[in-house]
Amino acid sequence: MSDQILLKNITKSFGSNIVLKDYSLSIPTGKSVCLMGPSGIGKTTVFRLLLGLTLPDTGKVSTITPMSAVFQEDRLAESASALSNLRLVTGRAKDESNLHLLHLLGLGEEGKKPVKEFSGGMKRRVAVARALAVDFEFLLMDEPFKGLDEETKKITAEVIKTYSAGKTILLISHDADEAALLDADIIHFS
Amino acid sequence: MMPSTTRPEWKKGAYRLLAVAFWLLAWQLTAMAVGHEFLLASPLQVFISFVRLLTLPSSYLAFLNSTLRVLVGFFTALCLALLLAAGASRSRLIHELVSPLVALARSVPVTSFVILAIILVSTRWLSALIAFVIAFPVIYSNVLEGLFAQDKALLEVAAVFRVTPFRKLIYITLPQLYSYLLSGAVTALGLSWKSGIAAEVIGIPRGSIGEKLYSAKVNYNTADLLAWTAFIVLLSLLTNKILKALFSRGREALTRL
Repeated sequence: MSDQILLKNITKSFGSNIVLKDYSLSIPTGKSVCLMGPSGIGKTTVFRLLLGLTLPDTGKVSTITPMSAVFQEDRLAESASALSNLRLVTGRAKDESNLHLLHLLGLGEEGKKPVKEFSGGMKRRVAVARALAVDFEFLLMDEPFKGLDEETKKITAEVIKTYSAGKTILLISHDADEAALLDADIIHFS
Repeated sequence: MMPSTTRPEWKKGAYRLLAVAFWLLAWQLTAMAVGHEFLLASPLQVFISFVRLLTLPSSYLAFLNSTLRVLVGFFTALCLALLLAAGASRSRLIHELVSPLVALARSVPVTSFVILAIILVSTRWLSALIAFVIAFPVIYSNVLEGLFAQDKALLEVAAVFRVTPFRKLIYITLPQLYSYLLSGAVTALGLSWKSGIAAEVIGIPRGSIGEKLYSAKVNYNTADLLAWTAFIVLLSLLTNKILKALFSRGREALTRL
């Protein structure tokens, strides 16, 4: 299988702080990969480079579209309901499937309540649901299980696997068990 | 059981009533001490004037004319401020072009505008023009501040998910802009009433509240003067309530989308 998602000889600095220097990464399409490494090493910069939210100083980024993402922060419209947060990315046409997705993630009852009333774990699941609600070929997730208990992690991982079957996944995590939940190959960030 | 630290509603109401009664009494005593109705009318004399004015058809015409003009000025300012603030948040050129006008409108005294406006336009729509000039910078500045304060992280989400401009407006921009717009609009409406009526007193357009105030002033009729002032306060409060209700409805409609 060809490597279609690629960071090649990337250098990226913020002011005088060089975050990535001549960094390369390739992810085979259709595979799940987990990027692991200590905090502050540049994993989130890789995430942002792949999403096109940050441009490299030098080097080349090539990726596949459409992409979807779970950010490190939940990044939800707090005053809107969980369903409205999904409508933001899908429109109203997918309401039925969105409610089903929320139900699978254990948010069936709370779908129409404002997100600001949710616990941290519930908000995280809304962020995951939003990423899964759209059509995508490449799913990027920066610590998607943050704040979830073990049981909810397993349920969430199953839903992610169901919705992303055959698609490419990049997981960013500190935890090898989370990579195992998604059957992801681990790449140690160096 | 822990003692309640909040004051019961009826007590709050009672304190408020007592405060109003205190000031009415102070006013009555001052009026009695002055001893001349044309200098300071008593609360009772003002109330009698208030009721008498309510029986006159010309009063309703004045309410209608002044309210219409103030609201035309206010809503024109609201629409234009929204449009220009949206433009200024995206274009440096528009921002730079509008900024001096806003600074000018904020710093130039209302009277100067009124006198200039009397020279340039008919006194009939003077209050609308002045309400516009006073309301516009307040709403514009608030809306622009709200647009600049939008959640950048959520805007990145919109970019990644290729969210359409309409959905971005409905789910991100408007909910975040709501409090800025509401506070700007409420302040601007209050200022529109004050400046609009002040302009009418100077321009004296026929059949306006300003004309009635002017007439009360030249006739030393402080009872009528204060009764008309009470009408202005009531009209301002009423339009303020309606505006807040409209905003509230708009917010509810947004959450249903």
